Amino acid sequence: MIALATLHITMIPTSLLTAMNTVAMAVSSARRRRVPSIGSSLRSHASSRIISRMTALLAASLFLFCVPRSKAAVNVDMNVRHAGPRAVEALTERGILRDYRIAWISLAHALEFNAADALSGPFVSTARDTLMSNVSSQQRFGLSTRYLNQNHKVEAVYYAPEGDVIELHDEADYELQILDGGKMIHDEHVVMHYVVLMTPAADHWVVRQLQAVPQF
Amino acid sequence: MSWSINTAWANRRMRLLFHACLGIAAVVGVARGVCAAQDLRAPSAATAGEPATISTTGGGRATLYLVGPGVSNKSDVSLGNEIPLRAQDLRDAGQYFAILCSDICHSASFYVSPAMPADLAFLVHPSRVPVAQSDAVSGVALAFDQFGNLVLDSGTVNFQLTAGKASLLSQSVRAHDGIAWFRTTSGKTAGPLQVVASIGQLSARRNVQEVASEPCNLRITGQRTKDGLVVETEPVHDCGGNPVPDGTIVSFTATDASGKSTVDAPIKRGVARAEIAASGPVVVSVASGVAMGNELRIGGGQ
Repeated sequence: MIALATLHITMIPTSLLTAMNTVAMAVSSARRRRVPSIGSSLRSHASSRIISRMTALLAASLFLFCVPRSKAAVNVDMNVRHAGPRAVEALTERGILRDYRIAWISLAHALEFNAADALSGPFVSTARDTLMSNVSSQQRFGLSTRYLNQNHKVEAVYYAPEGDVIELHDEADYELQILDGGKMIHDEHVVMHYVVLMTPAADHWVVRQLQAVPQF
Repeated sequence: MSWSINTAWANRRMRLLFHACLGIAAVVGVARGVCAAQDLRAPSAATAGEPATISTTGGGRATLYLVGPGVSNKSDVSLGNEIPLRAQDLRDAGQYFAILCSDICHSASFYVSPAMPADLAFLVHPSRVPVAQSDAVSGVALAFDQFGNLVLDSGTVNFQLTAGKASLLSQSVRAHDGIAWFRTTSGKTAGPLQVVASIGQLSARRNVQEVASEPCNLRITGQRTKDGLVVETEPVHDCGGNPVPDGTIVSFTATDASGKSTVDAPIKRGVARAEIAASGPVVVSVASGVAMGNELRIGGGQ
């Protein structure tokens, strides 16, 4: 149960965590403004801590009820059987799958909360520039984009002889929501086809190209 | 209940029903009018970095959102006109969504395809390679347009490998999903190997340094000195006759009555030389890497 709760809490967006922290800090500062005796201070401290924890728990619970866990999930299935000329080793496959999934989590976070920082790790070069440009223009016009219920069927179609570049075909389906301020202007379940180029960095794989195509 | 009463009641009901139908038809008509007013048609084909237009029907003002790779724009537009999409908003290849909102929102999507190849990314491995190694040199070429979009149907890529004036490889490879590649055996002579990939007028050039392979046919000579022996190799070459680079280690092993001793010496100016302390009859052997040389027997009196 605790593990499940922890798993859920790790999926809370940064903004909500920030809001929860703000509530906790407000409770804490309200406590500091009072000048009680030592005994009452201890009692007050304990009660404030309980209140702040309850507030955080309540906020997390509200989030969990409002946003089902599956909505934020990113499912990635990868097939590397047809990759060549170099065969993809099991460890490499796991690394690519992990980092590609992280890339989509970061992309969804960046475009929902207009947080460009989330893009710096998993994306480089053209892919990063394009997404950064999206974030900055979204900020300018007060827009945001949500990628919900993501499912990616990824197939590695090329793996270079020296292992320095891999090309993936990703048939992705997700719920695309575009919001202007708080108002939803577009909500559609889309099936997209992406051609992806990933290259190895120091200790992980990075997305260098993420380009949607009509079909493979 | 008489027929006349029934008729009057029926007439009233029929009139009410008729008016209700009229009302429904009017509502449907207005709704259809609103929908028609916001209808939009996306471009059927668009190319990166080229302007395009979205056609709309109806009248009045609306808000157009253009959301695609690298762009999330919002602008006020007049319905019934062709709405121009700027070239700078369509620089990135991919899927775009045009959303037109007044009372309600309508959307259309379209794809922007990459422009002509303008840049060739060419990855060649390795930077140094021993001669005559099978499948030792490989290269991958990816074509991009001027906006950094991967050109998926870039056509045929020509790979040319030349060592000096000799052509090592000339191969045309059809790109699949934007990628063309080759793999080949390294040349027979040490020196720079030029590797060129080209698509039309576009080309990228890389250099690979081919170096001598393992030493081959090691031969040593030696002579006794006052303190022992001096042994040295003949100029060290690989099996293709390429001089093995200076610094390559050659091991001399001397076996005499007191046992075995080994001296490692680097090749300097093409030969390796060592002084070995030994007395009496001695057998000297030589090796470098996996290659063994001749044995040299020097008697005690020589």
